Amino acid sequence: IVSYLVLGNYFFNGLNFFMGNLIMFHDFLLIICYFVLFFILSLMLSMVVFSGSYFNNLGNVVLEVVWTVIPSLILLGLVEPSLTLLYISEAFSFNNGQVLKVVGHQWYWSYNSDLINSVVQDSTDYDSYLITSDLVSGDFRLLEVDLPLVVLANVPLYFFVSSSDVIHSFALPSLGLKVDAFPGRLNVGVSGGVSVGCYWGQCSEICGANHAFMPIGMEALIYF
Amino acid sequence: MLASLRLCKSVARLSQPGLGVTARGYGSAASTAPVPPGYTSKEMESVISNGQLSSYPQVGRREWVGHGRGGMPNYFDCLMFPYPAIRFREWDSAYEALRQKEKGDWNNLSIEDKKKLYRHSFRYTFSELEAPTGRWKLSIGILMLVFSGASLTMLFIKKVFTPAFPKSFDEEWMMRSMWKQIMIGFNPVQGVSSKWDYENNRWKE
Repeated sequence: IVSYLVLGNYFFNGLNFFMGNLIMFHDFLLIICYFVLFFILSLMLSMVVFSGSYFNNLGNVVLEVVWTVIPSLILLGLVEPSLTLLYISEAFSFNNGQVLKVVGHQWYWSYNSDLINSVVQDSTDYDSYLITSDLVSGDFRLLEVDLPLVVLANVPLYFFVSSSDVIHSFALPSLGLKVDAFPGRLNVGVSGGVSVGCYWGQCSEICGANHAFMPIGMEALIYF
Repeated sequence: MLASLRLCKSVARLSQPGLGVTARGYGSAASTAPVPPGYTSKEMESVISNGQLSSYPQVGRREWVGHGRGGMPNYFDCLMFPYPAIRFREWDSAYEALRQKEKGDWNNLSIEDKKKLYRHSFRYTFSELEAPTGRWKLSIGILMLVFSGASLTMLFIKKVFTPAFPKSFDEEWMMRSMWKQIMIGFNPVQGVSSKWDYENNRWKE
């Protein structure tokens, strides 16, 4: 939230096994990108700065083979983390975690949380609105929510996301999650266990006038 | 305007004393001037090629001496193609006399003769070609003008047409907000909470 003042990673810190690995993969990719960028930049700068004729050798088969093989080797090296992450994000069974139902409306979310259902009898869906007035000094202005999604910590989370009117998107960047909410469709997003704390996200699919003002607040608690 | 300035400068360079070229430039002498052997109408059919024939109006009486940059009889001063296809100046009898002198002993050629021979075939020497022009200063200057104009415009717009910040940008509010982030452990890996010493309730060193 105040992260733009910090020189460093502009992601939310990965508080999830999946997001942590995703951030490490991103750093690794960036190293390769910087390497290629600076190599090409140095070649171009040398052509500008040093005077000379560049028409001497207009064909070199070995060079062409080399600059085909080396990028393909780089790409092969990128296959392993990429495919691993892809398969990790899909590998789950709905046996051992929390089932959380999320429905997007214009312009609020409504949740049905396993934890609350197990504690409170006759509990139903509850709506979660952005707090606009009665903000206490120190609150996060566009993220504070009156009834957050309450979740058990250290337990896998299964988000079943749908919408009641237009397309929304349920996003929790700390967990690497972005699940689109379509009317008439149920999408699933999975997260491994999260530690105790508060997590925020914002609606990520344009849904009307107040698209920027329907945040997602999640609190992970321990139940004892 | 810049193009005409450049033209005037190049013509002015050509009109310096000692080069023997008028302000009208090269290729403008009368048709009664002498021509080198092989370029008269009768001999053209047998001696020169169709390419030479077709390029005669543009080339004039300048000899075609090589392949040059593209094969066609154009004169380029270029470091990468140092030998242009045609000579720079037109053939005349004074030059022919010099060429005959050149066929003899080179010790008989004075410095002025050698310079004349060079300047007949070429427009610039290599040192003149590589000499700095200072044109980059024009580029940087125009860049700075444009950049400053754009910056001033943006500053004006930002000063006049932006609304006030909301309440949550007050100093005290932002400090409390950061305290709240530390308390909930926001960004514990590399962000704000990783810089707070929780045991001693102060920032880490």
